[in-house]
Amino acid sequence: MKLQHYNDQDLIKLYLNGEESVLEELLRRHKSKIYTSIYLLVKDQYLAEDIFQDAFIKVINTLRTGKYNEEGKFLPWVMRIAHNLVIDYFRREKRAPVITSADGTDVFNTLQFLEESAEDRILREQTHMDLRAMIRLLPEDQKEVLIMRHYADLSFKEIADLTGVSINTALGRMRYALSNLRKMMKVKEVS
Amino acid sequence: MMETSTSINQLNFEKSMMESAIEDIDTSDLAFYQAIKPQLDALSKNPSEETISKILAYARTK
Repeated sequence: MKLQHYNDQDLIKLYLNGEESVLEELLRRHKSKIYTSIYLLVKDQYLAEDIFQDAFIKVINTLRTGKYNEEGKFLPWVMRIAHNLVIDYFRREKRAPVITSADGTDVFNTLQFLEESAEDRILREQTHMDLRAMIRLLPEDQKEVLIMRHYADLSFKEIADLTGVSINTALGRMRYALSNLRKMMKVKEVS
Repeated sequence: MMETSTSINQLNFEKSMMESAIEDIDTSDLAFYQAIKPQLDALSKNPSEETISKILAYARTK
């Protein structure tokens, strides 16, 4: 049986009918798109491997319990799972311990953090960068759309659904991502 | 006089939105994207064989 000739939906049906070798074909077909998307978002190879593995374990568990929505496309579905795992990771990383003062208030309420703007950050770090570094410097929402459009090959509607924004917003973020990358490259050429 | 009608389905709607959005993009930005596509593709990576093996091993468990 030449699994390469089957589309994703037919492969899923085969898997649900007990043809377990199908999973290997699905992995072969989509591993680069999914892994690259995760890797560029989390910027750590080993973390990306863990998230990739967790995503496919969730895929397997969902298929086993019969909860897979057959009307949905496989790749956007797996990307949604992976994207949620990435979001969960960033939320855990941002969660800082709350240190309370003697009167019970959070000491960090008394501190002000000055954050440089995205533009200032880009200007500061523009020398000696490669494209990967430039992508990492993009604002998260722009980076996300660029990665999902180029690497995961999702449509703008799928990206909009996944990120909870309108298609216009997703398109706008892509425009800004390209514009910002172009600016960074121009500065790099000049320097 | 010949009457014509155009059916609008979701695919055409999205395509037309993309096209109008692309028209709104600076044409040089669009050319830029085409130019850097090979470089973007070069950043693609694959998970390790070990990770793939772990997934397949999990799939084989009952």
